[in-house]
Amino acid sequence: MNNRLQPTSLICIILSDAYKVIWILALTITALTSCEKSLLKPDPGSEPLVIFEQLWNDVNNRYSYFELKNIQWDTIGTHYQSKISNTMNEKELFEVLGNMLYELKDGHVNLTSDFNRSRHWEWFLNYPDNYDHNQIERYYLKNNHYITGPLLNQIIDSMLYVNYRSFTDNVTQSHMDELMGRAEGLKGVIIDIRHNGGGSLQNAYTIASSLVDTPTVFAQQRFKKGPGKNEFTSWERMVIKPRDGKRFTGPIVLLTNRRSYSASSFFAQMLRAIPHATLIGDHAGGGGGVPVFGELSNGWTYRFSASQTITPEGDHIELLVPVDIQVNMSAYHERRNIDTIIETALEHIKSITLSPL
Amino acid sequence: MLIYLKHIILFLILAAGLHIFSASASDKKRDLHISYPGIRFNAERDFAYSPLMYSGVQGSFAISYSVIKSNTSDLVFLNYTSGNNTNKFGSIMQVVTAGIQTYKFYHRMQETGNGFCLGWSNNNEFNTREVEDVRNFNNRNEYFTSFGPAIRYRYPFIVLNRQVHFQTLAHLQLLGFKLQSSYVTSLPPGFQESNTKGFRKFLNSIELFYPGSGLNVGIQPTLMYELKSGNGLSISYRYDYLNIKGPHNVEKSRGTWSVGIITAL
Repeated sequence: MNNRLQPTSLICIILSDAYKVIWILALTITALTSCEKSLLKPDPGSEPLVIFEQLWNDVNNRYSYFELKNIQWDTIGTHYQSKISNTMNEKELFEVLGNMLYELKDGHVNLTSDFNRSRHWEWFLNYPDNYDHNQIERYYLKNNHYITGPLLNQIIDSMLYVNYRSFTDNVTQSHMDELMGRAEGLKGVIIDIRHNGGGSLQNAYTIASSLVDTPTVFAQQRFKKGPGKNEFTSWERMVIKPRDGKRFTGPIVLLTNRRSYSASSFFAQMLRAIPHATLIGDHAGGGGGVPVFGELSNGWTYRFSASQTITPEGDHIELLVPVDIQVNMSAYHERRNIDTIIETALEHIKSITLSPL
Repeated sequence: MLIYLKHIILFLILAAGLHIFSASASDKKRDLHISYPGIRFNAERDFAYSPLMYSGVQGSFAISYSVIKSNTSDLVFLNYTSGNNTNKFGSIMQVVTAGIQTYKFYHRMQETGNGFCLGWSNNNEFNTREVEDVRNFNNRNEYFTSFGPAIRYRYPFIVLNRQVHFQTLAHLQLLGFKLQSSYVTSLPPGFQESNTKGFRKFLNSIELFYPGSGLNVGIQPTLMYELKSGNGLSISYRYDYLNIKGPHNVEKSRGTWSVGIITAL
């Protein structure tokens, strides 16, 4: 029998049920393939009033410090909504929304567009600078200091001075092994986080775990869990757990200033909970709320605090973390290339190691 | 009360899932179906971060295993998808999806299982996504396991002396559990509590998946061409829609194209 396909049989196949099925399949797939996007609702508009509503609502639902700061967000919303019109341009809209967010008085609140970033920086701008990195590099770290990962360190008068610029720079266990090895047998350790604006809390834990022998509760934290002003999760303890490797449990001094913010303030609070640590300098700037991020339908992004952190005594660390010995840089010392705060720390450790047990 | 209800329904879902894919001694035909890297057209929106739709094309890989018995058919389908989505302003979201779905169809009156068959499906899916430039609480996740009716249509025909099967699977997920990131953090709510442990954290986090709190519906037409050796080739398109309501709603609309090899075992 001849198996070759004849034209008449081809027509029969095309008209057969089988091919009807294939055509139905092809049409179904074509229809579905084009509808992945169209089966979702279209993006909302980006008119100024829509943008205002999106931002105001998310802050209203998830911001965590209305009560602590006594902020009347409804009143603020009414005030700024009256300044919004759909005829304003994007820079005018940005200015109004940035001013509205400024009312939260929170360093963790920003509105970011391609052309600008709104911010609240009064938590450090209204206070003395208390830090001169150039002076520290030349007269304290000097040319022969160690650079252990992000930790610049130098031995000064039998004490280890460690300068950490940003908690965004990762500290590893091997960095800590090296640092703890250097600190072995020394009188004390000075950790300088002045002007350190924060970053990853994990780095704070990594360093602090080298400074304790037992698990140490340093704070409690809770997160928003619903839109109500007081809808929070239960308070959960934050604990420093000692690391397995080398540790230093001699005298420790932490240097802070008002620009020590966010993860730096958490680290300052960690050291407040360690009995053999002393905080010297100016109070850390606070920032105890972990920021959550969001996006508006015009592509701008924003962030704001969505959690609260308190000390074991119940004090919020949002506004500041207090030092034990408050010292400002002296102009007299600065002219002589002396860092008043480092000198106070060196003297403090000397006084501890000289005093009888 | 709710916790006991959760226990009971969780047990029922697991039992149903196991029942759906249970092999027996009367197996007639077993197939392993490997879908080589396919492409998924994905559009999704996670209101926890943005009201904007993120869409893109991702790489996809799937394996399925089917057993046809005298009056039932079982099918288990594993899939993995990964890639990037972007919104209309170019912001990037990395997404990963992994899933296991089982089907059981009943064809008591017709041994071949051709034509329409009704049955059940159990779908287990985990989704995670990260938005570039978001530093805290990134990795928004959701997981659901659910159970619902399924339908299969099989139509065999001959083309050029070769057996071809057109098959469409469709499912609607009605009842199950879901687990998703909390109102603010990446972790589900129960995992934020330090005073509970292990399975209790899980139980405190899960919520019922039912019409109104979640919807998952899908359809998968496939054309399978049988080779001389008894193995086969396939081309398939799987569309599914997922909507999960929770602290923040998540919706996804996805279509996956794949070609594959069917190996008779």
